[in-house]
Amino acid sequence: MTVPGSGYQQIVLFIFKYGMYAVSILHVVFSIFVVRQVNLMTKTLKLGFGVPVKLMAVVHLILSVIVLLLMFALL
Amino acid sequence: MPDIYINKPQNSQTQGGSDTPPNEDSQASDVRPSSQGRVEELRQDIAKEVNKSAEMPTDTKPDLQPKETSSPKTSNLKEAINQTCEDLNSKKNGNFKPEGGTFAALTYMPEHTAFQLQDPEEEIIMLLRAHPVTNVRWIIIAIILTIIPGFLFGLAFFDIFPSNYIAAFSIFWYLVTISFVFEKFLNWFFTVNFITDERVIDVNFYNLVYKEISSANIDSIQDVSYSQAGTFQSIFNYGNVYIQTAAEKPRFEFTNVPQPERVVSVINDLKQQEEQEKIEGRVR
Repeated sequence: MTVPGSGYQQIVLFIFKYGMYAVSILHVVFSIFVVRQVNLMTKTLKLGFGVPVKLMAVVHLILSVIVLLLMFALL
Repeated sequence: MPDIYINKPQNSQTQGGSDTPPNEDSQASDVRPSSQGRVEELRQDIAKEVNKSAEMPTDTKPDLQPKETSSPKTSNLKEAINQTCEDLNSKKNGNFKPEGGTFAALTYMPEHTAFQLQDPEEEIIMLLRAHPVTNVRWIIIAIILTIIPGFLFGLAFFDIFPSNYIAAFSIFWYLVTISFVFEKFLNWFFTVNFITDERVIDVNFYNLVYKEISSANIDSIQDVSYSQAGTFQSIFNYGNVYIQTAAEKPRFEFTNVPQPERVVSVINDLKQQEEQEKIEGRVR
């Protein structure tokens, strides 16, 4: 995929594009970490809301992966 | 030999004076003549004490029951102790309806709640977490984060970005906002304090990478106090509870918990109950 524009604009867009890739990948890693931590928390404490919280963590991870794929599609 | 003789009536005192006196002739032959007078005095004193305890009704032993001439403060405490004990017994019998739901900041006698390393017989009396009003700060931040892109893309700097770049940035921004809200919710929901009939437990998830769980037995608690400072804490009745212990962690702090005076009262009740159990020799 080519970066539109020229000169200063091209540099900014290049940095923006690869910056977005990087932070999206980092966010997926963070989401995996959240899923792991939520599992640990629900094991440590049984507060009667374990399943919905785990589900939210998984949905959050799925959203992160979708956003990463969108980044590759849009940029 | 005289020591053995003297101890026998003392034991009988604690058992209600039902033991028969020892054979005086056989014991007297073992006692040296110089100590005979002293032994006789002690025997008389013990006999008096035994008579006193025999006359006293079993349910009015001073060490086991609170004194009738207590001050209003201690009588209130006594009522609270009775209330906590009654509630605990009702819970054990399945007759107590818990106060507070899943998201309540204070749940009294919660059901379907447990924590790791909980003793099978251990009963949770209170589940505490920060008052919901403490979440207002991050909720406001989340609202600001939600409306920021609308203002941000009006700036001249963003004119150089094609629409697909702006769309990608917006999507990522909202994903980060969702993550922020989720992380704050998790921290609030899982940072809890337990008061059980045996100990107090402090569970802190400061963030997603740092977890701290500490506990102290009720009998190692030395001092309990609380503070309420500021307008919000006064209006919404929440504050910090401080527990000084003789355990490995010397100070516990339950931060921003609702009804701190009630929490202190319950801990004091349990302390009192634990002391009474120690006196009565009930150990679980």
